Amino acid sequence: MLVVQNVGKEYGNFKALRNINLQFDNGIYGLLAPNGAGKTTLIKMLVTLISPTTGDIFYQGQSLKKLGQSYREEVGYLPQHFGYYKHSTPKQYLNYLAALKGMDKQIVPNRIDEVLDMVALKDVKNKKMRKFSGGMLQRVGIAQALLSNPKIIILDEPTAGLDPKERARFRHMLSDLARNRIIIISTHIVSDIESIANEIIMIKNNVISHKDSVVNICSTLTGKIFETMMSHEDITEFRKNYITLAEKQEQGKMVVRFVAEEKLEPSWKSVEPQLEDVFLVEYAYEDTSGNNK
Amino acid sequence: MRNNKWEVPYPSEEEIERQVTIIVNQGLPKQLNFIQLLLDIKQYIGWRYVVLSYGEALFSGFLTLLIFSYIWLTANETTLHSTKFNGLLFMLSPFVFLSLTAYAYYQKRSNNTFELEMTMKFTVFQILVYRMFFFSGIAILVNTSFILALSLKFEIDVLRLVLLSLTGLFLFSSGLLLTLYYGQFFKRCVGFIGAWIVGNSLLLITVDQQYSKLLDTLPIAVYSLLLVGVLVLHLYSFKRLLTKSQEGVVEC
Repeated sequence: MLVVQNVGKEYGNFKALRNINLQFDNGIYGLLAPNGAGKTTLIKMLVTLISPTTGDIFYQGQSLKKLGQSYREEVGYLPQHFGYYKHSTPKQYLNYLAALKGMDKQIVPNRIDEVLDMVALKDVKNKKMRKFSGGMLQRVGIAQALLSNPKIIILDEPTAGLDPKERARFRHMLSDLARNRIIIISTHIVSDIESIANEIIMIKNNVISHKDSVVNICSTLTGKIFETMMSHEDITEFRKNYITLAEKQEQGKMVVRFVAEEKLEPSWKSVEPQLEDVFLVEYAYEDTSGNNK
Repeated sequence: MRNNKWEVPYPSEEEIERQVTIIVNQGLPKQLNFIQLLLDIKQYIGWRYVVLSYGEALFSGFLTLLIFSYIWLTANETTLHSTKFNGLLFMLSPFVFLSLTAYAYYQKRSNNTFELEMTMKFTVFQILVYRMFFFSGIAILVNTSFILALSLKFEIDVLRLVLLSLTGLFLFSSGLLLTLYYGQFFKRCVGFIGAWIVGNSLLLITVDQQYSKLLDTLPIAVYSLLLVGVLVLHLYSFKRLLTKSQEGVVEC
């Protein structure tokens, strides 16, 4: 079990995170917030790249500071900006990282084949990475995070650069892996985690605003999400009064999905809230620096 | 005979404290000591990722060749015995070591791999420190070879120059390792390297005669003692940095 206890992070006078309390058991956790909200700061503390200014993080009851190397051994991490050596092949790079991870040399070749197979890169394991597309490089990044069969997998924006088919494959793979692992995915793309996360964690104004299952989080907007049709001329005025979540053209009119406290017009049709709705409502009046407008 | 049949023997506070300490010590993962860590790194990392890469060898080789060629070509009996030569040798002796270290660090930064490699069991910071130890060895070989090469052409005091070069090298590398220990390493390292160059240059310019005379006349025994002292300092700083807690190092 991984426990974040009263954690805060300050950079000079700027408070990046305040009073964060979280608990992770085996399963998938989606860390959802707009860019600049503090997701990456939290992720970097979870992988020991930076230390909390206040509070502490514990794994199996021990502080990460005390565990040090033995904690890092248990973690697979994909950073937001995955770095690689352009002149290396995936096989060479994974071999190097396996050495840094302190893996048993006997099992490394087979394990490299396994993880490259999982991300559909086995056929290009001996090709130089400088020729790879963004999606292929991201898959090498995912492969290295899985390499040592870690107990904790932490992925920062893992689907950046992946096409829809690769995203689907990635989600299936994570669902399989999550049975006996903690998987934490930081993203601002709701669809990446909506169908696979056991819990969603949302950060707002540098604190945790939600931590619950997708169903429970969505239920906070039950009865408040509506759809209606209106003319193009009316939409500008409508936007001034309501948070619109989606707008699409249909039969020469606009179909608008929006949030309201209650049904005020007979033409409004109540619809089931989605995680995307909660995300948009939560951050509708927040800029990326975390300050309310 | 017991006064109260319900009384349960209860350990003293000291005994409880002692037992708790034993349980905690046995429960916590063992922190590796310096030697265990060295052996562990050698076992898992091996020589393959410690010895020079092609890029490092080419970059440092080229720069070293450039500087040494200049000294070689401009050297003559007069310059070699001039007061400034010993001071210059002392100042430039860490050059090979520094260029190798700087290049290895630059590669990590430019490829953006530093962050990822800091989260590994053996962090890239530890591997860099480990490699710096080997870089010192390479620097000794290069510097000594250069002095020996000079001795083939000119009449110089080889032992004195080798000792002077080794002292300069290990004093510099110890300083750099100690600087790294205290974090904010980029700024601090640039500051330390600047201070080394400026300090030595000032000595050469302002108190040239006295400084060079001191370097020239110190008995070999004193040089040897100095070198031993600097080697001890080097080992101490190497050990301290390698076993330093790696958490939050990237913030430096």
